[in-house]
Amino acid sequence: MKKNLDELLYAYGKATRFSPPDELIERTTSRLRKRKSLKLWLLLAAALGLPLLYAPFVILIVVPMPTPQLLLFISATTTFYNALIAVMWLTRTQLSKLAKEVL
Amino acid sequence: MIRRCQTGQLKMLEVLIQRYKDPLYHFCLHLCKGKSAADDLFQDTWVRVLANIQRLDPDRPFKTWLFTVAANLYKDRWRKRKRWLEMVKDYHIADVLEQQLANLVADTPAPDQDILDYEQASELRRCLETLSDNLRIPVILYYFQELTVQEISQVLGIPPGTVKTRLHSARGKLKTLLEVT
Repeated sequence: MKKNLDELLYAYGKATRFSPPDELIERTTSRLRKRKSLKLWLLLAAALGLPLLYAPFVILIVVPMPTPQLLLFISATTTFYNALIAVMWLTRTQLSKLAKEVL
Repeated sequence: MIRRCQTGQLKMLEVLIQRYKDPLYHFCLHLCKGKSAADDLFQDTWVRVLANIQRLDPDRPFKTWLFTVAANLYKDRWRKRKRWLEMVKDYHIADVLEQQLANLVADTPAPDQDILDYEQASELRRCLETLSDNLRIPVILYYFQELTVQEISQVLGIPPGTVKTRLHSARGKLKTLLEVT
């Protein structure tokens, strides 16, 4: 039997009006709340973490030291930055998730 | 309410979620063709709304803006994520959706049942899935969300004439596929 397409589409639209589960609404609102507090924590972490990142450079420039200590310190600094890059690389998926969530 | 949301009141956003949860979820469900993908899109849309609520013009209807956010997110993210695993998941979800539809159509009393039975609904869903997003999204907004052509043009950011053309093309294709008048 031939039927009108408009009628079919409207009827299909009405028949598929599912309400979202309460659990989904709960998850959504808690995610929004978490996101707001996460932003504050990240700002705090950045404020504390950034000076720490630059610390080896600052020490290298400001503190005068003899050549053996200087070489040792450069080696330690290089190791510190390598470790930092390695940790960031290993946690890249988590970091990108976090960035997407907050930004 | 929008202005209060813009001042950072999360409680107001929760009120907005309660008010618009049904149309948005309905839209996500048709857009994604699957339940878990629709759930994710629903959540991501509200996160994006919270991030961008400052940019919303208070004179613009919130509902059309909400649909714009959802449609853009869908275009940006979901179409690019067609890995094999998700295709398998979508296949399973399509069955779940069909089952939900079967239960719902069985529970829904006349008059809709006079127009649409379960087989027709499944066939219609399959035909809709063959349409490109350019044609499918205006159909979802016009017939399922019952928005006007003007509102659809606002949601998609295209002229009303283009919306009419796309609806006409979609109707033409669906008529051929479904063999209806």
